[in-house]
Amino acid sequence: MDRYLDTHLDHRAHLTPGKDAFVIGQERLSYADLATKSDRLSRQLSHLGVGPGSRVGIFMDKCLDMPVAVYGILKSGAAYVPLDAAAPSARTAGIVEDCSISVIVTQASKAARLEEVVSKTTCLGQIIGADVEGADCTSIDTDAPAPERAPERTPDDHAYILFTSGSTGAPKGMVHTHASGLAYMDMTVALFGLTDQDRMANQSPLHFDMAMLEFFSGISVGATVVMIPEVLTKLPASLSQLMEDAQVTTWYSVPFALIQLAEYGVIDQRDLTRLRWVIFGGAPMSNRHLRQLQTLLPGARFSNSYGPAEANQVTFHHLAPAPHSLHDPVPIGQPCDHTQIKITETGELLIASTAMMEGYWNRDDLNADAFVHLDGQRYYRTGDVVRQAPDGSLQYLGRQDRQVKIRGFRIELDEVELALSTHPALFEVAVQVAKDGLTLEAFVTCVAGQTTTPEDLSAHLRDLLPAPYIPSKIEILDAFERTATGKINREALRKTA
Amino acid sequence: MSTPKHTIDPAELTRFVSDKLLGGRAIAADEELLLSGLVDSLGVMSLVAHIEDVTGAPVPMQDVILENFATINAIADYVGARA
Repeated sequence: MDRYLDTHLDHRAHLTPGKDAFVIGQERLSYADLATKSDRLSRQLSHLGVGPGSRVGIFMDKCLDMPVAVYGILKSGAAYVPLDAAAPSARTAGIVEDCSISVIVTQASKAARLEEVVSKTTCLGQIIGADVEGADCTSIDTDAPAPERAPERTPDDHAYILFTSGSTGAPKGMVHTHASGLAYMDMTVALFGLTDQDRMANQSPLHFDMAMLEFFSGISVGATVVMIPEVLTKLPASLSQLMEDAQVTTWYSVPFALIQLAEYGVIDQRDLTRLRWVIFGGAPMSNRHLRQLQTLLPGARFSNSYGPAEANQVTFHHLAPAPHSLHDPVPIGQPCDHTQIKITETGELLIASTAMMEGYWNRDDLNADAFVHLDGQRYYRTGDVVRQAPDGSLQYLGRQDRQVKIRGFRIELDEVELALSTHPALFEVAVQVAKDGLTLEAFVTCVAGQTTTPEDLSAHLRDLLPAPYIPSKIEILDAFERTATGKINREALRKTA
Repeated sequence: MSTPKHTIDPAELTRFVSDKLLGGRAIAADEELLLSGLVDSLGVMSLVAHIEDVTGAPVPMQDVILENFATINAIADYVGARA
């Protein structure tokens, strides 16, 4: 029988119906409730004409309806598209249009924000959510009868699309199938030895690929997922208290969240002895903070995971306490079992993997460049430059292009520059990572006779881009320093910044 | 170091948040800073550093909780209650 990304849920609900599948604060959702509620939602979606080949948006903060939406959409045969509820409405509306999303599942507290998105779209017909006021809105709990026929599905159907920053100015969507999602799920369950005894902290938002570890790998083994409310990611001491109270056993996040915990989380005052895995990825980890965390959490194992969301997890490195030199980058390790790699002459890492995306949504132009066929295999060109150590393990050295990571958010500097340059007063713009490595900074010049202020430019960007993309410093220059060929001298900008 | 101060002027704090954290956007003293998403994790740390600068007294990390940092008024109340 074919397996899908939702197949394990009914099995788990049968084995341990009363066990907590997801908890957030004092609220809990049992495996039986997750199975029942997601069945209802899937029937409701089928009645709305949603099935294999359709896409359904999820517009929510972290809450217990989120896993219901994920599994309900998958059961209907459709693919889910996480929409960042904090992103500007025009950006979200663009994704809704691009994916011809006709149904969005939301929650009451997000209804007003969603109205702004809806007003900017033409395709959106239906909003489903618990107790959401407003037109064309149905409750998530409607007891719709079962459809006459189960949807016809194949493992190559699309399961989810994750959107990320695109260098051409519009976000690009990575399409994963049930087969690629399952390859990731099975691999991580084995790699980290996940079991029903685990209580897995879900730190990442749903639109990050990292959330797959808890939403699928964790649920497939009958673990309990402890959802971390977004606000706690800003309050490290409260976060570490929650980790103690919820008896968290696994943690997976970008390094920035861990660095905050190490610096400000008063971990030495918490009992985190149950924490057995600390997994990080998505950006290089600082050696100093890794050592600090290893000292603070002597009972935990540490793993550096590498893999662009296009390919899911690709390599891992289980770190022994301080095995590597403090001066070398933290290794990203060995390729996972399901992954083959090649390194080009320029050092670019190429990946072939069963967990790899099908391609970018609606972007044949990008797909033509993103993949290369070698020895009968389709390889994804990561754009990441690596070096292979004599023992075969990989070290990440940098990017070939202008993609950067800001506190774990993957950002194309070109996208920020294009957004900034839509301001009518600006002539030229240049955006770069600030010296602190945690924020962006922008330099601009004005069209002759025009003036603007950094505040005005910042407000302009807030309408177009998510918060992490907004430069924290915008400087208005009289003129840019030029290279011999007349281009903006970015090297000089980096030095003067 | 001078004697620590036990108060912080909400008007001054409002200016700091607006100018330094929100790129000039106006903010009310009772408006949600964290739950609204207006202030991010780096912003919280800037706020802590600013309070330490203004009052001359350290802010223990255990005190950096939602109750004390939800709004500008909450921060002013927290600083006042430390006396």
